[in-house]
Amino acid sequence: MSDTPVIEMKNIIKRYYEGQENELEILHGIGLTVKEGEFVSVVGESGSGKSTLMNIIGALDRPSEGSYYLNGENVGEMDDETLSDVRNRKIGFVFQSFYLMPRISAVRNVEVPLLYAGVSEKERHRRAMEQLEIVGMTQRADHKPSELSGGQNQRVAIARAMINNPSLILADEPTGALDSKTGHIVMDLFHRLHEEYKKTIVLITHSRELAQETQRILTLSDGLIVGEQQGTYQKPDKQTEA
Amino acid sequence: MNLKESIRLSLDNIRLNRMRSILTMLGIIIGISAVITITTIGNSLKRTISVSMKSLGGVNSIECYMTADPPEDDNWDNWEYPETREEDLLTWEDMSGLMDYEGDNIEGVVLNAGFGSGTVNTDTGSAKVSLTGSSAGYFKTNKIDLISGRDFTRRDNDEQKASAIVSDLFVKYACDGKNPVGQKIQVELSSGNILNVYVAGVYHYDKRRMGTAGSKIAEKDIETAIYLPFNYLKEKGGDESPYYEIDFFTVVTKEGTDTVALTEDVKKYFDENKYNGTDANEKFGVATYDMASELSQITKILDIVTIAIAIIASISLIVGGVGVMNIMLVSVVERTREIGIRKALGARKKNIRLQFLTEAVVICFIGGIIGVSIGIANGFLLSLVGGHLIENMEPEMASYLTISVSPSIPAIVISVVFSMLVGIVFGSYPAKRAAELSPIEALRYE
Repeated sequence: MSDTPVIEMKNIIKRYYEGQENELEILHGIGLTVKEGEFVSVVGESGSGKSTLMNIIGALDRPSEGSYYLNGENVGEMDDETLSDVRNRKIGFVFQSFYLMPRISAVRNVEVPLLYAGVSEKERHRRAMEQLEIVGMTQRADHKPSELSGGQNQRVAIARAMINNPSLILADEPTGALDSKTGHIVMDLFHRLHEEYKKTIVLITHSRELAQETQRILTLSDGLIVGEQQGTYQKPDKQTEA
Repeated sequence: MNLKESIRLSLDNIRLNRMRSILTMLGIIIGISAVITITTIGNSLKRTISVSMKSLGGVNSIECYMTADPPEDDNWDNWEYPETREEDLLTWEDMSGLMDYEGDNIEGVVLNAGFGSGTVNTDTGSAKVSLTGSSAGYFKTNKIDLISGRDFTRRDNDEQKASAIVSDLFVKYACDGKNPVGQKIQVELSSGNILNVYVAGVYHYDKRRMGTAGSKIAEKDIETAIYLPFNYLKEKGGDESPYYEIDFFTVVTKEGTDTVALTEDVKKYFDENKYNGTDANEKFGVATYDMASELSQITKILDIVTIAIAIIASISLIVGGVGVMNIMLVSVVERTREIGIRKALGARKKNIRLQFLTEAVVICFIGGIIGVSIGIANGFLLSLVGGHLIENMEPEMASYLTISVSPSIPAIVISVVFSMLVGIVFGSYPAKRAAELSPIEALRYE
């Protein structure tokens, strides 16, 4: 494990309609550091700037001001094409409503990031099946999203997020569309990824209860991080150390 | 993402929206099939004309005639056609000279000169004949079948032999059907002269070609040609023409000879050897007319007409292209979410652009292939209908025509490439729109 933080944000400001009359500042100066192997949550009410922050963390958008280093690379100054590459190689997205492509099978959905990484067809399939095995979806590999339940779809989406071995898994309300039981299954899966595969995970949610299941909780309010506390969840190995 | 994956995705999408894809392709299908139909008909017409002309035997010959050279300064007002004297006309010796000179390129010189008519009376009957001065190669060139005996040789003319070739009708009525080859016959000319000639061969008289089919004249009264060596008739022959010399002849070329170059050589030969430094008037010369050049002219015109109509037809491809663009724009909007997901997962702009562009090109390509198939089928159908129409309206013409349907391969290749080009042109704007979408907005799109 290197000492370079996975996320290092300093004084991130995000404005929309810059220079126009209706200019809107959503983030007022966010500082955020996430170390490798951490499982962190960002909690905030709707309208707190959660989605904007997520877009910036996920390299979908650039900050207006401030610096953002992802694995030591300056994301704030990248062009669109380099951002695409960063998303492809370094970030695994898990969305509230899964965002699987409805017309293709689970395994082909999992393959998509590899498609843009230039991996051969055979290798794509092999690695996708490997990931589906981790999330326990091998049996349903050839099913389309419409033939799967919400929990199953989210597991496929997690497999997709994992496939390019990203530095960061960014989950946006991953249980939001699920009932509490399947929500727990998905959270257990995140814990497994964190423990067994040493993944760095950032969970973005409005639910404090869910956030409690992470190691560190950052509270976002009105475009600023206003609080930081420990979650109830601790890494098992750390517990044995203690 | 590679091209293969893009094509696979495109085919998935086309299959998924089958009805819509077919309707989108319709414009392309109609455009391409129109172009292919027209080029197939044009090409078939060309082939038919060329095959038919070759079967008529006109392609390997150059028709030559003596004429006055045009005025040098091109001023036709003060130009008068010079008076033709006997010395100006061509002789068998001139023909012999040409044959010796161009021996590598020409098969021979065929003559066909009328020497009036006469009657042949034999022990078994009689027949009317018209006398024709001829030479070796006449029958082959004119596609007349020799039934028995032999054709003329060059010696027949060189040595003025009294060899005659008569028709099968002549044999039927004058010889009682018995093969007369080797027999001596007497031809009584209308002038009263009598020629004693020996039958060397018998040719088949084709009534349909000679235009006496269905005629009211009784078969036995039909005057058929009796062919004799030109040079023999000139010496012994009739008295109806002022000079028995040559003002028209046909040069038969050897297989593979460049006819156009040969015509120039022939003209030059006579300009240098006959109409220069001899008794003949230098104002005369030899002009030529040949089917091969004529055919290439016709072919050229047909090509131009075909291409012109094909270009007009291809305008409908633009309409088809606009249809493709329309559907691709709709598709981009419908798949905004998908584009957002792909971008979030690392698709670059060029990946998205390639995907949509490929889809447009694949739609146009499939449309192009269907259009080509329909066009070829149409071409066959219309050519067959055309052939039947000609057969019904002009049965005589139909006997010369060999309808030959041949789709134009270059047209097919160009059409398919062009349809793909339409896909690229009309697909690039929608593809650009898709590629330029912001991933955040695309993901948020409901």
